[in-house]
Parts: sequence; C-alpha cells; structure tokens
Amino acid sequence: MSITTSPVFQRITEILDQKFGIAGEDVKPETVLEDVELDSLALIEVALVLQKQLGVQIRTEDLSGSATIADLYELVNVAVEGS
Amino acid sequence: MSRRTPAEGAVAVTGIGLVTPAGIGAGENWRRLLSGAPTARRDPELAGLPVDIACRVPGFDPAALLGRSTSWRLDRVSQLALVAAEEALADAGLDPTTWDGARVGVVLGNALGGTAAYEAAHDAVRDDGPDGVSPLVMVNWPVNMISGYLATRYRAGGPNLVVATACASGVTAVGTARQLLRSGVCDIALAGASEAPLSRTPMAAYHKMGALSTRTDEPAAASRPFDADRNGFVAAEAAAVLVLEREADARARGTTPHAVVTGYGASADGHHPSAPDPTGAGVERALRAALLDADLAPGDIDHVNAHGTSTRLNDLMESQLIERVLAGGPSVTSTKGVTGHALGAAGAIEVAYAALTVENGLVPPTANLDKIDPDIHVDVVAGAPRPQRIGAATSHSFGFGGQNAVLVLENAGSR
Repeated sequence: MSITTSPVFQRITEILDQKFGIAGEDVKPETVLEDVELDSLALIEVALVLQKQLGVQIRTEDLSGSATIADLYELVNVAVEGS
Repeated sequence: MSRRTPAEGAVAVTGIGLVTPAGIGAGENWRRLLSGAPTARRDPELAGLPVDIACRVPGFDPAALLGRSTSWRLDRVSQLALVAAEEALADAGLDPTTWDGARVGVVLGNALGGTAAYEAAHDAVRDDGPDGVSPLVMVNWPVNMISGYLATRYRAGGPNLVVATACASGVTAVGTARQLLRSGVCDIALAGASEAPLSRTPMAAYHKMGALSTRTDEPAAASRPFDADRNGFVAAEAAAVLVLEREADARARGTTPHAVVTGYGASADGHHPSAPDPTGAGVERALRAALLDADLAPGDIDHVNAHGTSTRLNDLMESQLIERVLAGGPSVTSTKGVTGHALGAAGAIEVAYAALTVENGLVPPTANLDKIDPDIHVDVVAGAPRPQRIGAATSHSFGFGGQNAVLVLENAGSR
C-alpha cells in the first residue's frame, strides 16, 4: 500500500496546502523538501504546526534527516503511532 | 557659491513604488490623494483596544502578489516592501535578472521591525514554552531583514542596510542612498521604507503615550493635520520604494526622472525622548542643512510636503519652522490626512508624493482641514488640489528621539 493513502499522509498534505501554500499535486513521497521551498528553518515551522494539529511530539533535531516528503511522513507517522 | 553641476549633487528618482492605505500602486495613490478622501477606519484586528482605528492597505493579498511561500514566511513589513519594490523597478524600466547586482544598493527605513512576528513568537513562548517558538521570528522581527529580502529577491549585492530614525527613517534612507550613489559605491539604489505597526502591542503603547487620535467614533475625521481640532495621529501601515540613480546616468540611459533629489539634511533635537523641541532649533538645523546641500536659498522652496502628523505639538512647531525659515511662503500639504501616519515609512511615502507633486504641478489637499489652527500661519492647501508650477520642494520628517531629516526635490523638467 502506498503511503499516499494513509490518513497521516493525507493530513500532512492538507496542512502543507492550507498553512504553507504547497499545492497537493506537489506533495508526493519523492518530493524533495527544498524543491517546495521547505529549507531547514521552514521545516521547523512545519513541524511546529504538525505538532499542534496532530497532537504529537516531533524533535527538532530529528528533522535534519528529512530530505523528502516521505522522510517527513515517516517522522510524523512514528510520532503518531507513539502518541 | 556657484551652483554645482547635476553630476556632483543630483540623484534622479526614476522609479516609484507605493503600497499604502491610499492604494497599491503610484497611480491609485495619486488619485486618492487628489480626492482628499481619508482612509482611516475602525480596524477589527484592534478590537478591544482603547484606540481601534487605523489605516490599512486595502486588498493586500501577499499570496497573490508575491507567491504563497512568501505569504507565510515573511512578516508583513517585508511583504509590503517587496510589492513596492516590484512596482518601482518596473516603473524605472529595470530588469533585475539582467543587471549587475553588485552595483545595486538597498537602503530602507523602518522603526519597529516585524511586529506581528514578534508578537506571535512572544505568545508562543508564553503559551507553549520555548519549544513552541518559530525560528522564523529571527528572520522577520529584526529590522535589517527587510532590505535583506529585497537583496535576495533582486540579486542586489551592493551595500544593504536598514536605517532607524523613528518617523524620520524613510527620509534618512533616501538621503543615505543618495550619499552612497554620490560616493560611487553603487550605481542604482532601491531606497525607501516599510512599516507594519498595526499590532496590538505598539498600538496600545502609542495610545498610552498620548500620541494617537482618540476620535474613534469618527475615524475618517481623526487624522486632521493643522486643523484646530486635531488631537493625535492615526497609525498606518505602508511601504514606498524609489529607484535612485545619479542624474547623469539616468539621463544617459534615456529615462525621464520623476524628480531629482538635490539636498539632504539631518539633525537631532537633543531635547526629549518623544516631544519635539518647541523652539524648533533641531528641525531648523536639518532644514537649513538640506537647503545648503541643494545650494538653494530659503525663498527658492515653492512647496513643502510636511511631516504634519495631526498632533498638537508637531503641527504647531512645524508651521512655525516653515514660517520662520522658508521666506517664499511655500504651499504646504500634509498627506497624512489621507494616509494616516506610517511611522518609519512615512518619510519615504511622502518623498514619493512630493516627487509626484513636483512632476505633475499639482498639490494634493490636506484632508480634514476644516478650520485651520488660529496659531498656524502657513499656506496649507485644503479642499481641492491646487495647480502650481514647482521648481523645488522639501519633504520633512521628524522622529521620536528627536531625529530629524529633510530632503530637497527639484523639478526634473527645468534642469
């Protein structure tokens, strides 16, 4: 099953669209975060919003390993499952 | 003293960009100024404050104007500046994708920084603890970021700075940019100012210090420079960016300047943190320095775009300055009756307005001037625009802290 059908992925897609102006069609697992203007500072901002909206904890230091949307999804999904 | 050649002193205004409560774009601004229709209104975002009236830029949609990423990453103070810069560059006929960016400087004025970014960060720390704060606050709150974002967007790699002289910042920026051009360290300067002060903390504090008009039941009548019934300023958000080039360079590439900047003077009152020196000695030093720099006599000034804040102290002191120094009895207008007071951005907006006034030979009226203060004896234009052939004009800006700046603009057509 593709991660794109997971509720967490869909929620991330919604939040990136509504809060960060990233169109849904650009949110694919292989999308490189820098290509949608999510540099390291912006990614911390994204994580703050995801934490609030999803009620999870994401450590800032864990974000540095995220290069793609799939990496970000993985981080959030682990946080959701652990919450 | 012989008159200097234009190449020595004059800097041409070849592009104007305006984003103010009077509209987005110089054309819209000019039409609104001529109409004399005030822009102050009750502001839902200030609801609950003792003064909940302000002047906002109408229909400002950063996502549509700058792209969706810029709309959430940048504080409004930088967004306003970017939109103004976009217009100024187009007006000047310059293409940043092809220019030698190393020769382009940016000098902007600002007083308060990214107020909304700061307030959001403060609230996050209070409500969620230190882990809740956005790191983006440190690239939005500090004042220097405004010119930094212009450099990034337009590959402007020359000198880049934000100057802060409170409500004189916009004039200080234009004067400083002119000095950079004259020194030869850059060939093009984006000069102006931006301010986005309509957040709850600064608005509450300005009220507490007694600076704001309390005419909240009648917002459109609240900003009334030089009027007998004025009782404070109405705060505004705005930005203005000018493209400046040495006049000889501008004419060599075939442009017709809106006006030329020929003089700049700056001073400090050294009197009080917020009240102007009632003797006007400090502002007079700035005005006389600007005249000397322009090599003009006091009687040569045909028009003044006044600081004219609509506070009791400023307008009286400034009218006495004009009466005392400018012997020719210039026409005077305060465009703050329409726009409100955009604090650090006000000076840049008013330099742009003064340039348009000189260029068009038409003085916009001072809005809400129903009954001039009986102690004010200068020729304030009110009611309708006044046609006037203007050779030279001054634009005045005086800031809290006693920081003063005056610019002289001359008609580009007569040179």
